[in-house]
Amino acid sequence: MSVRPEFILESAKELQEIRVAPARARELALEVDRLNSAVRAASAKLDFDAEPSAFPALLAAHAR
Amino acid sequence: MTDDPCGMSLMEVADAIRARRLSSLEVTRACLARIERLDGHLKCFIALEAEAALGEAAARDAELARGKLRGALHGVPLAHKDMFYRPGAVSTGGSEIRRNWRAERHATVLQRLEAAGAVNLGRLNMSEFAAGPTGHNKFYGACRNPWNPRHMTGGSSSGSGAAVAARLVYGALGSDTGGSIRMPAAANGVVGLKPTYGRVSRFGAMPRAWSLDHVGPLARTALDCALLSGIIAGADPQDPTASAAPVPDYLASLAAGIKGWRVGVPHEEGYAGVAPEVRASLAASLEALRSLGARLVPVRLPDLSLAYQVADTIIKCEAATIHRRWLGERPQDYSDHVRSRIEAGLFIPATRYIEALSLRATLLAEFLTQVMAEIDVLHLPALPLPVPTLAESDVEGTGEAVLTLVAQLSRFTRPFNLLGLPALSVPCGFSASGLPLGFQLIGKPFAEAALFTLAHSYQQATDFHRQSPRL
Repeated sequence: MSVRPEFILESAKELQEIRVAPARARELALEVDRLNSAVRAASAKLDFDAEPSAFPALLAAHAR
Repeated sequence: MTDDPCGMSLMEVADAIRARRLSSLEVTRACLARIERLDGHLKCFIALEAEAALGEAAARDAELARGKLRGALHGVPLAHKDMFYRPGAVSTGGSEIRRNWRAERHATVLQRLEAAGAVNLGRLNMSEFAAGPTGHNKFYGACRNPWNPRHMTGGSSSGSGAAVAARLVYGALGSDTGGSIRMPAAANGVVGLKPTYGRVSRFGAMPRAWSLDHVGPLARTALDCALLSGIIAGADPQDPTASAAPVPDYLASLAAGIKGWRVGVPHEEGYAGVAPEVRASLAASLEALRSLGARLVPVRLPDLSLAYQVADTIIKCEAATIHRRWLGERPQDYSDHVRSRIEAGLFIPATRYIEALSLRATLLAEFLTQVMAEIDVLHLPALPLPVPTLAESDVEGTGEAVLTLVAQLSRFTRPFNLLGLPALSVPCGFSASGLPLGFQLIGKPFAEAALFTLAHSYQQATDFHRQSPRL
């Protein structure tokens, strides 16, 4: 696991101003690590010009 | 056709009111009496608005007597998931936090149904803040499956699925961010559409995650669903994500049949983890489609778990943005389960979120090329498992086994929220324990008409949609 519970606790306090219990921070670290890793790995598919608005444009282009 | 108004389909009752064989008041009273008899136990409604409904019904009858027909839903009682806003009216979103909150906006979809003449019976139960695939709700009570009240309804449009199945209403709106229309449709034996992203306006609908939220109907038949979809779909200046693409006449193509249609069927590995009795009902439905003239085309699915995880990232980041202030100020007013479904989004980097959004086009392009190019529709499970009991699926304060089961429920639905493709859940049988089973049809962008046509053809050859729970 690369995301540490301490990171969750510090981010909760410093960035989001919410309270997170230490036990919950351990669960969140696992979850954030899973999602972060999956998207980071998949982002290798993205080219330099990729952007979110390509999605509705592609849907519209395929309208039939 | 039945003599009991509650036993009629939406299309049948609309025809009867229009032809003045039944009045809207008679139909509305029949629905209210049935709700009065059954809903104390089923808990489909958060709020029943009987007096207002009777007033609306009387007004529709008076209009008809003067020769005024508002539209295709003139005098037909409906009710909707309690997350579509009406000015001045409470809209709880299934939450404690909004128990008494009154909306200012008027949801575009409600305006369109009202303009078509619908009568509103009240506000339907749902998972808290539309976050939860089972239909449990700590604050308003778990909605119960009318086929067996020990079982879950699915969520988050729990009341919509159960109320339509129990013949309390003729149709209902739901919302679908990861399967929240299709799962309750499958679990309750009704038809539910998640339209193409942008096909139906989201204006005035409570957000779960803007990028993946889809508004759509649940009804007893594909025909009814097509009728409702044609009314609510289309451009909306109040929702810039609503598409300007013209809305076809969904009813016009229903009778065309599916002879020669190519129905994509996953290779064996695409069914990994799907329960045997679900597989059997899917196989039977495919055989029925083949007998109607469809050609079954094997397709190799990509790993849907990637789309699932990308969608999960987007949902959590957007939901965390929407709920951040309340998570800080009123954490005790969320159920543990719902809070836990949101919190991770507070800690995912913005770059990951934007990468996830950017991946949608890439993954959609791959899916259209690799899966949809040589077929007309894709046939998949709706739920991979028979409908669990409420106890088996109660995520509040329970262990890993329940969480694993619940995560399985949306395995075949959530990826299509990311891809934005239209998806229709259609009943196709019953499990050994008597709970409904369903298949899911996936279409190309804006090809809702194809889904309705195929489902309607299937329903002309089968009778699962005509069966109703004994209540």
